[in-house]
Amino acid sequence: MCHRLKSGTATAETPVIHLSAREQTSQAQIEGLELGADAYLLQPVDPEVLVATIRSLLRTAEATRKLQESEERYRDLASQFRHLLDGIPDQICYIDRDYRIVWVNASIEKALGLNTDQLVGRTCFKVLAGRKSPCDDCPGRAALETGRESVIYQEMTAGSTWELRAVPTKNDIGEVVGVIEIRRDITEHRRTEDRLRQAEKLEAVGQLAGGVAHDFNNLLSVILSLSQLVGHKLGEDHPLSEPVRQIQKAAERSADITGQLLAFARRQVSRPRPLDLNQLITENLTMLRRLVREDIDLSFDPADNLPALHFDPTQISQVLINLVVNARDAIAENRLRDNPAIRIATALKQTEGEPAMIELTVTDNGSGIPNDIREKIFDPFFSTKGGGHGSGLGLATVYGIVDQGGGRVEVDSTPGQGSRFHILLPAGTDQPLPQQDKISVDSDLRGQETLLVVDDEEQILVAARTLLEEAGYRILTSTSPGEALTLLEQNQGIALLLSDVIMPEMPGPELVRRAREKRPDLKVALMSGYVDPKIFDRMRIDWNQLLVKPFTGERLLRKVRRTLDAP
Amino acid sequence: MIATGNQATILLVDDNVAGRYMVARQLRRAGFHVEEAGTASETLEKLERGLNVDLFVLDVQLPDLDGR
Repeated sequence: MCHRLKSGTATAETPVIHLSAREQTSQAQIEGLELGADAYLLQPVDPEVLVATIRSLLRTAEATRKLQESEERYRDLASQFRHLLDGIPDQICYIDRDYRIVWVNASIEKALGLNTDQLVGRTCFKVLAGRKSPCDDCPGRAALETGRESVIYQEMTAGSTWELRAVPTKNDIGEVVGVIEIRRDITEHRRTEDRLRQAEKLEAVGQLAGGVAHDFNNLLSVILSLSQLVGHKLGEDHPLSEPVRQIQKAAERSADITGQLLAFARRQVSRPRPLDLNQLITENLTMLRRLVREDIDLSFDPADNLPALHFDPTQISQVLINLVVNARDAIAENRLRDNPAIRIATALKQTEGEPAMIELTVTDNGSGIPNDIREKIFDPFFSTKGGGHGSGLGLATVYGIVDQGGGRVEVDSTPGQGSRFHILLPAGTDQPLPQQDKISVDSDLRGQETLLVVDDEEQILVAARTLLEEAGYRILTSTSPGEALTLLEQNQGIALLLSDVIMPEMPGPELVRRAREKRPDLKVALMSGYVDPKIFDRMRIDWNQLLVKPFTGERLLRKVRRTLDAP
Repeated sequence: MIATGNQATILLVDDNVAGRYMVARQLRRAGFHVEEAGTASETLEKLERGLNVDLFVLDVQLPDLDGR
């Protein structure tokens, strides 16, 4: 019976007291105890002895149970601790004062290809570095000697960066007893920091570029429009007409550069309109040829009967420029190639069940894209061109523009042979393309109305007055929005208000609002040299009202005439 | 699970009803919860039914199975 109870799982730990008749032999007692009985009492049993025996056995059983529980808890904790350490991707080890390894986590075992038994108990500098003394730059040594945390950074030959941190552990009286060493791969972290720094730099450059562009566009408006007027007045045959044309050309190029600065600073806004992609590319070819080396053959193969594309022409130009620059750089990396060529082509893609797409391809016979970086080429700041060259924004900008416009980008590439970028853009509906604005100058653009021009830049006012008076208008000007409001009250004959957007005293849209309160029928147009979409959206500016600086005489006159003629 | 204090459950196994009665009475008076069985098979039956026992007091000689 007792044997049965002691071998059953539920009762194995339960104490058993044997009671037996007085005549039992001591041999029987021994047998009972050997079978697992915890006590042996003779009948008739003294009740006090029995109760005391029972209590004693219950106490022992309880103590045993508690011990087992605490052992289990200890095993659990030890196992949790082990899993925790092993789950940490950092390489962690604990060494004592004598540089002996006390424990290591799985990451270390994996990294070294050694198991715990080959590490624990060994001296760290012997087993890890094969040395007879602690390593000179070891932060563990520094932490043991100084009692303070110590860190070093290790640049590995493979290009990764590691942080090795040593944290001293101390006993109750503050003596250093060992050190926890944590080794961690911070390559990605470093890279992110670098990107952030670069993004901040770009933002700063962007703000600077925006500010400079604003001032330049004011001044270029003056140079462009007045040199045009002077050229016109002098006539073709005048000996000074060529120098004036050169001034005009220089101003136009400056305006280009300012525009590029704004594009780089991403202070542009998307203004889609129906356009002829072939025509736009043809117009851009001269500029694109200037971007590439003379020995590179840049050609364009336009598709016939291409439907209209609904897109911002400036953004299409940006896509083209970035793809051509990318192709140029790929060719430069593949110097040995004969007949370097960049081929631009358009095509109409019609797949069943999908809307028609207009395809723009840019093909080069440059270095091609290695397979392992193909997925990264559109990442912002990813560049193979090395520090200082290329912002890493070119293809990211392409991707951003195309994606925003509802299109997609595809790449074919064979390393060593070249790459082809496909830009697929949704074809517009078959609406006819708007006629290019052929400026049949003068007569249509003239007028006799009275205009009020407001700009905080005095020279803009001088230029605008000269040009508009030349075209027959009566002009009032002011550098102050407050004064402009007074002028409006005093001169009921003013038909149109042309105002700058950003002025220190009062923004243009606010001036327009107040002017309309007094004169609901007043026609208005705004002009600005600095196009920040965020600010403009907040001011709820209608883009159709806007005359973007720098303006030429023609654009100024056209904007004024159109606004006056609008219903 | 062993109950603490005097609420421990003791299974007293003895085929001698009179002797068992005496011991059981003494143990109950000492504050224990006492279950009784007269044979080994009766004991096992109680255990199979799920009785939780903190301590056994066994008579060495049982009619159906030796108490050892």
